[in-house]
Amino acid sequence: MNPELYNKWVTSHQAKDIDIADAVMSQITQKAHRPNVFEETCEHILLDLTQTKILVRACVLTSGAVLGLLRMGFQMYSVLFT
Amino acid sequence: MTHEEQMIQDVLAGKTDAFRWIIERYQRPVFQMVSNLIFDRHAAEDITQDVFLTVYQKLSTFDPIRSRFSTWLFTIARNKSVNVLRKRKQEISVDPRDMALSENPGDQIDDELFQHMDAVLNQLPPRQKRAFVLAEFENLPYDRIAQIECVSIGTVKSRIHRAKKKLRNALKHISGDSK
Repeated sequence: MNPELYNKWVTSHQAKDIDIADAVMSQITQKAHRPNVFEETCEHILLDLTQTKILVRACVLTSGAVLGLLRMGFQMYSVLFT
Repeated sequence: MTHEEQMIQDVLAGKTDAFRWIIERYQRPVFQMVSNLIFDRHAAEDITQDVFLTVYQKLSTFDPIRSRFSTWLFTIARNKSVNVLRKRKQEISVDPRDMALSENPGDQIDDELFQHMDAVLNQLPPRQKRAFVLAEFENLPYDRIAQIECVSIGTVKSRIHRAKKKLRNALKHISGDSK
């Protein structure tokens, strides 16, 4: 194909303009979207719960810890009161 | 720290107005990329707005070590475009937009040829089309396209090569040029 025509075609796809700044900014303001900002003071210990894998892992670990505590409590109760 | 990094930090610190700078900096390339992928100006505008809303909400998850901000932004735009195309089941019509026929007879011939080329581009497999659009229309380097598409640079090169070959073959009889 003619390179000149090809370049003209490519250019025709690059001349697209838009101005959505006001629209987006008003949506952000109206809907009060907030970025997920970590507290600077303890950023290093906070988990990024927006990542599904981390969230699932955190849930599994938490439920494991709760079950462990319940089991320990039940065993102590058995030893002391039965 | 670059001005862009400063703006990102400002947004994360709660200075919402700093986000306007990010929108104004990237709205044109994002819109251009989306509209070239989905061939629908109105839908492209909606998607572009949605992209920036998502960017605003997910900004804290952006990791500058893993990629440039623009690459991250283009990846979000790419994913949203792919989702829209999937929902539409690839039933896309070429936007007559920007392709209004010119009064000049010579330009009219070009316009018709361009419409054919757009149609051929639109019929390419989505992966090849995206790689082609990102490389040729957006002028993105192969390594950044590879990051956006989550594939190797070799795969990107291969997709672009195949896309160009198919475009050439399909257009041979239209342009009457055997090159």
